[in-house]
Amino acid sequence: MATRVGANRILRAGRFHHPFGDPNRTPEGEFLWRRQVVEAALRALAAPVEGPTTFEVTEYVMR
Amino acid sequence: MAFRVVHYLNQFYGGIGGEAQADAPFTVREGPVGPGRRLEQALGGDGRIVATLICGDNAFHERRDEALAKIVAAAREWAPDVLVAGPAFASGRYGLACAAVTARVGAELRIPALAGMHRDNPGAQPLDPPIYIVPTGETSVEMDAALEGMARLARKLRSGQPLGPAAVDGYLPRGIRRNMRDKRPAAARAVDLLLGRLAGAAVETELPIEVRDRVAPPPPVADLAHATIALVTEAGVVPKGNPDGIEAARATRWARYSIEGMERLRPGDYESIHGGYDNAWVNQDANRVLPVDALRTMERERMIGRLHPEYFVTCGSIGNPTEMRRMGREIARELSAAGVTAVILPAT
Repeated sequence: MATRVGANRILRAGRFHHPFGDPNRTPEGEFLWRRQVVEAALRALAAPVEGPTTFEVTEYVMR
Repeated sequence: MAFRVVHYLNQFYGGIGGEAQADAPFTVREGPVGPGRRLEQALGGDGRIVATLICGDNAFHERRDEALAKIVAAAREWAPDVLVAGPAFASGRYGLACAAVTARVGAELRIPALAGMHRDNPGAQPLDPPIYIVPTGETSVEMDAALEGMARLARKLRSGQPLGPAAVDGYLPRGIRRNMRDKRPAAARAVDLLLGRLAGAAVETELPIEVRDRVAPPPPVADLAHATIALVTEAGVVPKGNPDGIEAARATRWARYSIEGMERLRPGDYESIHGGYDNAWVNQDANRVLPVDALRTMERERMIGRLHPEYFVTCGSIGNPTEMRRMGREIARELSAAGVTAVILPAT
């Protein structure tokens, strides 16, 4: 949907109820995961794009 | 008897002159002028142009309300059955003027009204209520086709017959969906679409989602370590009690709330009033939508310059695009005045 309405930098993150959250993790695990999602958002902001582009979260800490 | 048409043109097509004459004040000529002659031919005797209203593009926009009032008054004197504006092709100022004249004269005289322009003309942005716009080419090379299309739609609107879908009757989609009956059940149509897609045929969805805005992507943030990052959301996350009364659906309000000095959004202090998703998880912890806690640590680590001290919020549930666009503009203006570099927009 984000692509079809023309959003240019799209990050595939959590569920739409909690895009920056994952209630299935422990509180500490969820916070670490959230940081990674925000880092991915910042990478997207710093990336040149030509049109709607989807970015993924790279996880480097296991749950 | 032929129906009466009043035609709106700018100074160029009205034969007054080019850009140097864009200040030309509003004038009225009896009968057709310039492209109006070919428009009348295209109407094939069904309609005739009784008067042409001409206004310089700059003169129109510099005193828009005054110009529109004069245009409405002049149109009224000629008692038209239909108003036609343009075609403006890709010309922005002319297109915006044509759209405004079409909307205003149509509403005040209660007559069918239409404009012609290229679909990317800023004048073709959706208005509320929507107007009829016949899509044209980008330049006057496409004049004949444009006038044919405009004449066809003028006849159809004048006839009072129900209008078909935009693609069939030759106008830009107006964001209106109508139910229609089909003999075949939805399941059969859906499978056909799928089979068509698998076979590589050009299949058309029954529910197109319009791409209404094409926004050029902003350049990448060059220096995150000195950037001010703001949080803006349509998720309806507000301080508990919803102090500004943002609506749970079809919102018309947005608000801003301070997060200055906060390590995180404290559980219990915030809630979501958004009527379109299960709010349980964000009500437990609002950082799940607005990642204030994570951004604070990154601010301390100098990964970003700073987190903007306010977040902005509205509610996107069943949002009206016109309202959403207005609120987006208002919020963008605030962000830009505050020197914000970039925005993260958590969407629900």
